[in-house]
Amino acid sequence: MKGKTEILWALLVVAVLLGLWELCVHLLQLPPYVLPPPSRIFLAFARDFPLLLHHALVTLAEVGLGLGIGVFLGVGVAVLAFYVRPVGRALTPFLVGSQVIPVFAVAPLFVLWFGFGIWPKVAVAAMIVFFPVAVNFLDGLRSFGPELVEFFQALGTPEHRIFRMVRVPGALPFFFSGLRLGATLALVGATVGEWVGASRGLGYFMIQANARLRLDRVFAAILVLVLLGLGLFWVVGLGERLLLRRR
Amino acid sequence: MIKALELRELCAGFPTPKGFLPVLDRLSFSVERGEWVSVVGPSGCGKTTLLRICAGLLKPHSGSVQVFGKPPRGQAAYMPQGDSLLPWRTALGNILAAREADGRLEPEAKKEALALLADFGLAEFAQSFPNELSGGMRQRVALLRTFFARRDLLLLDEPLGALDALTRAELQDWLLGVWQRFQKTVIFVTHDVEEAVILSNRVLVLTPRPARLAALFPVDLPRPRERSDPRVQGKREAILGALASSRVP
Repeated sequence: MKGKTEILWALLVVAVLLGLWELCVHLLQLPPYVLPPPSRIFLAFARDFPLLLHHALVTLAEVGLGLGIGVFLGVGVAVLAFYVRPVGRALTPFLVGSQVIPVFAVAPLFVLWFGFGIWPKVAVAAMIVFFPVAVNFLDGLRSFGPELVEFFQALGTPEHRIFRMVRVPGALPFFFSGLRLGATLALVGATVGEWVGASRGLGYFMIQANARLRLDRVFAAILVLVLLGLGLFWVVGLGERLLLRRR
Repeated sequence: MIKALELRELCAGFPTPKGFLPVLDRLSFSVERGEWVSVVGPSGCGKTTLLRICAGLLKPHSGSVQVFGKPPRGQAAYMPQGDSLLPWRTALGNILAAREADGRLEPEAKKEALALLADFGLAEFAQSFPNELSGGMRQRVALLRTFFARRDLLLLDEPLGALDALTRAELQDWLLGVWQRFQKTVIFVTHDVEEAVILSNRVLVLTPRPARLAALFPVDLPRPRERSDPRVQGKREAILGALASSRVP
């Protein structure tokens, strides 16, 4: 079992690192407002769990909505760019160039435009998801040669059926690599959005804790973010496995 | 009597930066129902263009094409050159795709496809994916898929072209078996003259581009034909001669 030993090794490494961390904090007598030891972090995690859960659900809702909107728009734009050549030609440089837009720098603007509620964070998450999904899905639609499609075109199969039978399944692996990239980044995006201005969510929780020098809480929130990220990664992987059972 | 395929004064070509590049030059011929006609010609002469026009994938510049008296799109089953199987479908799934292409899949189609795979020696590969099959097996699946489509005219673009000599000879016999069972009309592009003689009712020889009809050779020999048969070799020589002389303007 290669997978199991890998997990065991990873856990071992984490345990050793946490042990070293704990040891250093005690040996160097670092105050908890500089670096709390892991034991304190886990304590904060356990004590504040209901609160963390409350904020995590807000962040998760933002990411979920952002994912949904980003995927919908990304797929839509990719399909449009694929079928309408002028649109494709006009959008391709923009889509490629957009990869370098620092979305996090745009977050304060979104707060300005959409207010302090959940929507500016949804917008940041959606924007982060949109680009990799659109670029990768479009690449996927363009990835295979005409010979896969021509057999069906010659039979007179209508394009909507060719799209469903050939193009979408052919593009799905690309779609998922875009989605995986987007899903994890969307979590970071939503959190950054909450830093800029929010009254709920893990980012808000972190800012509050940081201001009170409660670093144990900050780290507990980071731990929750890591768990959420792993969960998202797992969900996307699960969807991928279900849809692409074999290749 | 309606012809399976009828070309009249067919001209085709492509626009290039240097102007119009003529590929097919006034091709006229017709194919009877149930015939196997092979098309040979120097490489790059326009054989694939000819098939694509017969499949309705390409519009001719002038002249007309009719498949069973109708415009070609949707009338013929076309097997493109190279790997055209869907990599995410099993052999069975790929064969069924030929019927799904026409809309809903009939409930008995799966049984039919499995029987077809079994009849032609592919039963154990029904659940295999293309990347698990050898080149020869993949071509067999792609050929069966083309026969499984509900079309009476098949357009096969060098289906055996990429195979080694041994597999190729084996597949020729196998393909003949499939064809004899289905009794469909076949247009078969190849660059192997011997293969054309072994398989066809008629062999059509094209000139270098722009392709014109150089010669038409009927092959009235009983099947199966032996490669070593002097009559086969005689036909082969004659066709090679026609090919060679078509090169000289």
